[in-house]
Amino acid sequence: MSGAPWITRGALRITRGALWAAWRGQRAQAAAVAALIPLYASCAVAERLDPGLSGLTVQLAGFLPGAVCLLWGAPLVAREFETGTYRLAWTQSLSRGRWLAAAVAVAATGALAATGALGVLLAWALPAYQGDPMAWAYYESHGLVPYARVVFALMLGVAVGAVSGHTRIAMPLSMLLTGVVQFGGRMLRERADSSYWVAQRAETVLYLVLALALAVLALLAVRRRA
Amino acid sequence: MNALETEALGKRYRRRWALREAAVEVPAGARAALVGPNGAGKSTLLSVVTGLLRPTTGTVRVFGRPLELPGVAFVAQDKPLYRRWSVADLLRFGAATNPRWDGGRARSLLAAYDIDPGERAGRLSGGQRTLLALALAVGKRADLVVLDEPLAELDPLARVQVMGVVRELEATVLLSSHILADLVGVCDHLILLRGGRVRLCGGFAALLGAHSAATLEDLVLDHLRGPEPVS
Repeated sequence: MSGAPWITRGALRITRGALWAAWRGQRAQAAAVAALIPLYASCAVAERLDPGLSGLTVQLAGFLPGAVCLLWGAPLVAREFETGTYRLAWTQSLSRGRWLAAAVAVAATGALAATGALGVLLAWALPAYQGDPMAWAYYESHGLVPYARVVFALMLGVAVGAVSGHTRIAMPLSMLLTGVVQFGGRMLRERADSSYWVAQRAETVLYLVLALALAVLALLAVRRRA
Repeated sequence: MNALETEALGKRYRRRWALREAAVEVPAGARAALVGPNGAGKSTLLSVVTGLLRPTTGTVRVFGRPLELPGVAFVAQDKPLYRRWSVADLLRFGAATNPRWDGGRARSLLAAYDIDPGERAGRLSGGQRTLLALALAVGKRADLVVLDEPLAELDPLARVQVMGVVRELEATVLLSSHILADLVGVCDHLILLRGGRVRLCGGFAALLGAHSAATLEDLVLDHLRGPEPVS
């Protein structure tokens, strides 16, 4: 082996370039998702002021993956197909695989950052939780599951967008599937009756495996696209 | 040496062949005009030789080697651009995604036609958008530049400007049009497609001599007459 030929200066420059291009293309989506955090914050403030609203913010926190799927994942590839700009993007010097990897890396970083910010907000702004940790609203907004779920929801949007090629199909369909999987998870948890961390770990692994499978599906769709 | 060489190139969509048994040669340094009626397979051929479309049959070689993205620049039909990005953003995009990028060349082309780097791509005129797409191709410093209908929907002044840039490109050029007259002054090679098949391919002078035709128009019209070949 003559070293690692892919870690050349030029390759690094192009990798950085691909990430910049992906970021430039996704700024608006990043801003839209970031704008949800102040909304959650005002919700937490309302909850502190009015005890009757107790539990509202954690319940709404469960919708963040759906929002990421809708606003960020679904249009990520589908919009390139709709506007024809994939013909510009794929005839530069980046392979389609690298192009998709950069786009997904930027979106996943943003989605995880938003989930982290929401987690900090919930821990900091709400009173200490006294109830059952397996109650869905608490369970789905704490621990590892929200991070795994947001990555899964993002990749679901990306994959449905890449396969269908239309945002008007990808947005509602991937949102619907995100919700179906969320409810499926709740039903499984009720039946399995496992402890909090066992369930969290198992569910995290499951979501990440599904996300990986969806990433492969998106890659195949992008490679086959004429 | 041929800048572009295809062998038995074919592309089938479901049951219809858009391109069949296409053997094309473009020598290095040539300005090749790809002409033919609408639906003859021009866009399909250009998409296949730029790697956007995978051929059903056959091979593409660019300067004797299999196609590699950095070696070929493509201005696709309708000049796709990120319309919300500024001109400067699109140049940075070119720099970010191409290892051989030469920003000076791209910027001076835009400066020559007074295109403001701060303007959004979506607010440019058709001619300016074409020049911006050309600037991205120029900056890429590819050895082969492929343009799909670059003159479509342009006013006469913009056509002259765009063909002026094409004439000055330091690369082998392959461009398509359905109007032969636009290309005659700048090009020296002709590829005529009809019904997905290559009917003529060669230098202007050689083709005229071989078919003892007086003008290119005569030659092209001659090969467009009669029933379309069945593919």
